[in-house]
Formats: sequence, structure tokens, C-alpha cells
Amino acid sequence: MDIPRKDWPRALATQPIIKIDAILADLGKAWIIKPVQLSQAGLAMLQLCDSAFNDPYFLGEIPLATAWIEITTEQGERFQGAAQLMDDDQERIEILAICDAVLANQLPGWQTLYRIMEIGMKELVEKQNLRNAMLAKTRVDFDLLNATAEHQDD
Amino acid sequence: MGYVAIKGGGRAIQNAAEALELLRVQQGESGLPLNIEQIENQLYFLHSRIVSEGGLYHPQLAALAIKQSLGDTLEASFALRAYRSTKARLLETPVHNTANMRLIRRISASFKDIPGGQMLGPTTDYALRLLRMELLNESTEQFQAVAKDLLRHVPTATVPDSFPKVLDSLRDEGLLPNINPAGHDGPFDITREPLVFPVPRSAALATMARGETGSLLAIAYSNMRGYGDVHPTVAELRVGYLPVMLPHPITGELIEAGEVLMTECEVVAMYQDNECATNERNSLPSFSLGYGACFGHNEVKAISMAILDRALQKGMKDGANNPSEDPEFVLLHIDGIDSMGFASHYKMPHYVTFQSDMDRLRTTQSKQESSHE
Repeated sequence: MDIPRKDWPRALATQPIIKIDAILADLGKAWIIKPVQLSQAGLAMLQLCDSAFNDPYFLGEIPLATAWIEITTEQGERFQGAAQLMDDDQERIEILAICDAVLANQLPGWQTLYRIMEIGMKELVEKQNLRNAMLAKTRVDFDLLNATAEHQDD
Repeated sequence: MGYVAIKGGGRAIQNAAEALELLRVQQGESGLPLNIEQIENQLYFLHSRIVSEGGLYHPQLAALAIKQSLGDTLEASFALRAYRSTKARLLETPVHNTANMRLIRRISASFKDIPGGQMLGPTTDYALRLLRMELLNESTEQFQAVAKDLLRHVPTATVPDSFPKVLDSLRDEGLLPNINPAGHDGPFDITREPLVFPVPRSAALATMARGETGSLLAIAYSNMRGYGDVHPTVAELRVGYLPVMLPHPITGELIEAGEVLMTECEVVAMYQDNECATNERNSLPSFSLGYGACFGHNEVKAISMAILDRALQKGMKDGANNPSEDPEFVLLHIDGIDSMGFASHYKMPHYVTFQSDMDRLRTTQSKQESSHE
């Protein structure tokens, strides 16, 4: 399964963070991880475009956690990763930022993390399938109405 | 008006809080606490009201607010809004287009054959409103059996990622006013700036988006019944999940940070001559438009907001002939937390002001009595 980077945080977020943390602990025993920017948990204002006149406006606020880190490996190489998620768990977002660095730079052992992410993505796809099914099963069929109208026209 | 510090109620207040907690647990040892997921899922529409009226899309905390307020919508929204006031604002998102919503429902009252088709989704529209007595004693096993049955054979349906907007086809035909050019000032932030009239339309939309459903409905209903002339037709009503996209801090690529459940409604209303609603392409009269949207699944609120948006546009342009067209009247009276706060404050001690009222009444009475003698 090819998972684009835009889906990494939300796919990983479906999985138990303890599990992901354990994998990272195993992968990066000798890594030094420092924040590039301090991780934060707060709010973001959601900006929409109204479809009647194209006026931007604020629909309301959403929770947001954000983190940006840098990994220094035992060989002294540096890799950065970042994550933003609608969440207020600062610890989790830091872990997801590390995952971003591991996956984006394919650091040794990244495949283990990728497999976890695939499980998460599968869950998201299943959820979307359910919504699609709800939509498809309730599609209105106007054929009967059209046929009746044609009959009346005759 | 004046207030005076009251002493002596401390213990009573503490005990009142306990009495409220007693109400919550009064089923006694046979009772079970509501869990957050149950509230979010089984009290779906109530939950939708709280995320929207609280102005914060935080499903978990909205469910908690419902639980701690014993289902009082105003108190729950107040708690959620109080929570948000303690949190730092990290950013404003880029402008999102609702054409990207992952829909669960999409209908139109304007055309039957809308591009992409009409899908009813989950709705009470066609329910008979007869009580389902079988739910009175629904067992866990029965509940789980229904879920198992419905979820067992979910077909893999081919549904497009996004659907075209009904308004776009009307606009292509030259029946709608032009959209506003991009590049004007950023939207009004009602959480940071007070409403000083006149306010821009973005302030009205944001205020209505977190307005109290009943208040919006009541004022919109006055317009529907004749104190106004919107006469709307729902061009499109959508319910679905909008992916929230934020730029990746390193690459700048848009990343999905999550999604929000929202309802959106566009109404087409009485046409106006080209002086009122210019369509530059043909300078001919065009329909006017109203727009409503809110967090959660709340169709009555989105429709009411769309009607009020259209009414307010008229009021802002030509002056208000009806309450629903007056921006000050509408926007200052639809916030549930504001209005509930004002109503509730009358329960607070007004001993000094009332003492003064009594003194004045007695003085007036004695003056009248002496003038009659």
C-alpha cells in the first residue's frame, strides 16, 4: 500500500501510541532527538470559503497539536520530521513527528513503522467505505418519477 | 444597579454542587455511568449541537461537557467555550473549500437531477415520528445484534471523492450573482474582536455558525412566516466530513490533520434586479443567495442560518424592515451563552437594587396618599 505523506499522521494516530513508541524506542536507541520548535497543543481557527459568494470566514476552532524535531543518529547524521494533528496530546504529536522523520528519510527499520501505518490506513479506508455505502444505498432513483411524468405527458 | 458581596452562602453553594452530583448518580448502585463514546454516538444530534454552539470541534470534550451538564445544551456549550478560552491559538488554517467534504448526505429541493445525484444518507426526514417502544427495554445483546447486522455486509461502493456544487451549475447559466473577488481583507474573528456595527458579512457568518440553534430558528421562522420575504429554496444541503489540511512545517505540502463533521446549506431566494445583484456577464436580474454552515450534523441550524444570511444581506444594503433583517438585532441575540448568562443572572442576588426599588415605590405611594388627603 502506497501511503502519501499527507496521510501519515492520521493513519498512525489510529494506532495505540504505546505500540508506536515501543517501535521507535527499538529503532533509535542511540539517537539524540531535539525539538526544532517547541511542541505545542492549542487551538486553530478553521477558515472556510462560503460557497455562495466566495467570502472567507471562520467556522470555529479546532484542537491542534504540533511538533517539529530533529534526529541525530549515532553516525552524526541529522534528519528532521514534523507533525500536526487535530489533537491535544503533546506527547503523541512528538512521537508522530519522529515517525515523520523516520518514514520520510527511510531510516533503518522504517518498514516496521510503515506496516503499522498500513494497518491504520486500512482502518481509515474501512470507515470511509461505511460512509460511501451509506451514501450509495440512499441514492434517490428518479426514474420512476420520470416515467410517470412521461406517461402523464402522453 | 449595584451589587453587594454576600456572605454566608458558602456551605449552601458547596452542598448545591453535591446535590447536582446526586441527581447525576441517583440511580444508585444499580446505575452505570455514561461513557464518552456512547454520548458521541448515541446522542449524535445533541453532540452536534454542542460542538457547534460551543464553537470548538472537540468531539471528546463536547461529550464530556454533555455528561457533566446532565444534557443541558447551554451549560455544555458554555463549558466547552470556557475550555477554549484557556487554550493558546496556534494558527489560522488556510481557506478550506467545502467541495472537498466527504459526504454522508446530499439533497436539493431545487432540482431532482443534480449533478452527482441526490443521496438521503442518515435522516429523520421520512420518519413517522412514532415512538419505537422496542427501544424502551433494548438489551446489550439486541443493540449489538443490530450493529453486527448493519455492519456485516458493507458493500464497497464506488462514490466520487467530491461532488459538484448545485450552485456552480446555476452560476454557469448566469442565474446567480457573481462571486466576490478574492484578495480582500481577512475574515472577522469574533473570538477576538467585539461586534461593533456595521460588521462585515464574515462576522455575521461566524456569529451565526456558533449561534444557538433555537435562537437562529426562531428569528429565521419569523422571516418565513411573513416578517420578511426571503422565500428560500434549498439549492443544496450537505452533511459530511471536511478534511482539515495544514501545511507541513518542513515541506509546506498540505497534510491532513484530521476532519470535522459539518453541515452546509445554500439557499436560492427571490430574484433581484441587476441593480441589487449584479451579474456582470449579462447585466440581467439574478437570484439572490443565502449561506449557512456549522460544525456537526444540524440541518435546521444550517437552513436557518442561510435564510438569515440572505435576510441580513438585504438589511445591510437597504435597511431593515423586519427584525430578521437587522444585523444588530439578529447577531446580538443568537448566542446561547450570552443570552443564557443574561437570563441566569436574574437569579443572582439583587438585594440592593430591589431594596432601592421598594424604597422608591413606598415614597411614591406615600406622596400619592398625602396628595389625596
